[in-house]
Amino acid sequence: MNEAFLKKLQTEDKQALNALFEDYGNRIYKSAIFLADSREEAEDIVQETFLKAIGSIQGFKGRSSFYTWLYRIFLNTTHDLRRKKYIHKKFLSKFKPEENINPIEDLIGQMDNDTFSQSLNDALKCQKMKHREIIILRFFEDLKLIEIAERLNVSIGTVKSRLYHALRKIKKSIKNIEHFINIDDQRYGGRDELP
Amino acid sequence: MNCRKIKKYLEEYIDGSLSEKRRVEFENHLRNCSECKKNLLERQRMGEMISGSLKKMADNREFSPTMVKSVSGIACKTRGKPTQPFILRPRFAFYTILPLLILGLFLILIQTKNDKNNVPNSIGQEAVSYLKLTTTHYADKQSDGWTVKRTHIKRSNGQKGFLTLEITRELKKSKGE
Repeated sequence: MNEAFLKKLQTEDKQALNALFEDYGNRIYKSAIFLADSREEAEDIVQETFLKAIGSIQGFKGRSSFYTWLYRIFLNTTHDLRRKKYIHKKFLSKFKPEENINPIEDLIGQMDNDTFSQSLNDALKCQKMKHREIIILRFFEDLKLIEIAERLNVSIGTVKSRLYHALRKIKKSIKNIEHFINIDDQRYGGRDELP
Repeated sequence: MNCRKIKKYLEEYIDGSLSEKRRVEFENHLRNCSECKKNLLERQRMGEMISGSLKKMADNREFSPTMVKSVSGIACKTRGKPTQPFILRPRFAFYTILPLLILGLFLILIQTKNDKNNVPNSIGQEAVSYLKLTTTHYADKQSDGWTVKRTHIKRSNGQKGFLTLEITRELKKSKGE
């Protein structure tokens, strides 16, 4: 993001705002569908993220990339909304009828019938939030350890530990994972070339 | 480098962020340890599978254009609103009123304590103040027929004592009365 565009955003330029959504809306939304439990929740998170970002755009000093800054807001918003949802579920759900939501499971089920994807999706849903976000950052956003540490504001050691536990859980959850991974014995048995 | 270290530096190796020296040690170990090599290949394959699946799942989802408009609209409205003066913001009110409330409560408490300490020294008032605190009243019958009702008290200076409540005398009925 160049400085001229940033200045346009800071001066409430509507076109610049639209361009911002076009550039980052989908990227954020795609991460959101893995962290949220339903499509509605994912959309809420994205809307809230952009509203917060626009509200505090003056605070963006350019110390990190714009996307890193936006992603940090997105993660904080996700935590906030999920915390609210948890409180609502725990204390207020007794007084209100359950809302009809479209679970992401169904959503993804419509998109893809691949067995591994289904199993992975189920495994992700059982993960803790901190493990889920590590998986998304590492394998969906393709970030390096140091970049993940920067986005989550934690140490590299913490990132490695969370990643290790998240992968172990996925490995446990997906039955016949060896079948999917399909490592040929000949490849690692001999003293051939390194991968 | 041993197997434990290989496990520790696995992610850095995949990232390509190991130092040259460590990378050479890492690869040397892998050449001689089939178990570690298997772990690395498994981790790489698993990464590829997860990454591929996530991207495939996400590819079919797009952020709806209507939502972009709605967010954009709300954002523009939000931006257009005049900002609330600092004094009227809830956070300011909270941080101003809360210390005042605490100060008020503190003053009330101090006042109450002072009132208690300033009990006049007259017996009647003192009795009223302290009778509530004590429960043990006792009557002491004197040999000359007088009965003295007393109660234990604790004075404001911390000293214990007793307070005479009533002195009565039963008159013996003499013959003929």
